[in-house]
Amino acid sequence: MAETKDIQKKQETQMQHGVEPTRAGRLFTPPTDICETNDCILLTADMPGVRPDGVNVMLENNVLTVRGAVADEHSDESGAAYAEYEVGDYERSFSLSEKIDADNIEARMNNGVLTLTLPKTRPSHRQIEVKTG
Amino acid sequence: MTFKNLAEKANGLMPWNWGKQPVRVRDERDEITLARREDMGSVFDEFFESLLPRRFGGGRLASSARPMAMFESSWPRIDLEETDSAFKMTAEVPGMEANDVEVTIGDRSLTIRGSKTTRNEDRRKDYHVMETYSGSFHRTVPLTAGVDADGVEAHCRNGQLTVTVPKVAAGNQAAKRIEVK
Repeated sequence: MAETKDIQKKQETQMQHGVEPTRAGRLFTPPTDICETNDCILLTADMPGVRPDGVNVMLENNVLTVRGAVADEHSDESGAAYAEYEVGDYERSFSLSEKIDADNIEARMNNGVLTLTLPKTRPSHRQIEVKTG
Repeated sequence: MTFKNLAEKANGLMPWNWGKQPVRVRDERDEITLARREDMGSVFDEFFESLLPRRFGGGRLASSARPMAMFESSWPRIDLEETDSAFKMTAEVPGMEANDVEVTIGDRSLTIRGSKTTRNEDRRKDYHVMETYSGSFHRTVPLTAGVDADGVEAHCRNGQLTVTVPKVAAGNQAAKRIEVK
């Protein structure tokens, strides 16, 4: 069973050296899908137990950081008969390429799934007039 | 691996002890996937099962106790709490609406099933990263006897499913006296 448990465990977020979390408790990496369409990149992160007001999305130096605070509704652990998952907050960072229009990123939280829409910047085609003489 | 190690290992794989009885937590996912998985695993499972002595039940092992089950994880993850008055099961089902999850209560078991469709499978080629679970699921949790099937309540909120199964009050369970003629 020990092996099975290890596999079932949520992946914990590795904190960078020298960075301390500001909330007690576990911190997990949310499983994420990344889909690219013609005009945007869609990012879907599973964060069960996180309310829409518990999500925090930050963009700093082209690094997009997603945080989700879990509202712990688990009662006292003494009653636990069988447990497969642990409760904790979620955090994950993504580095964005230059091609993302950072001003128009949209975030939507629905049923514990965070969907981020990252629009691509349109290459600005500008014809340069060539003059003679 | 020696035979003794193998036997101990197989024994230790039982998922959880309920009243010292091995309890089986069943996991059946997308049937196509399952069929393929069984193809892969059955060769190994049959080999391991052939090594098991009769006192471990002989024959087929519970699916979660099969050696190949070690390499799979179940979706959704579930927690079960027991209090004096009720069982409370919680499951992490991100992206699921209340209508997407079917909860059934059997004689001694609680089953949840449904299908997670947050990913657009028609556009698989557009995905750079696919980490979330996608597809149908089916999990069964065994319960002890004496639950009140009419009083079961299920809520789905923020991607978290909570099912509360009240126990039958002790008074109703009192032994019935049989008249001796």
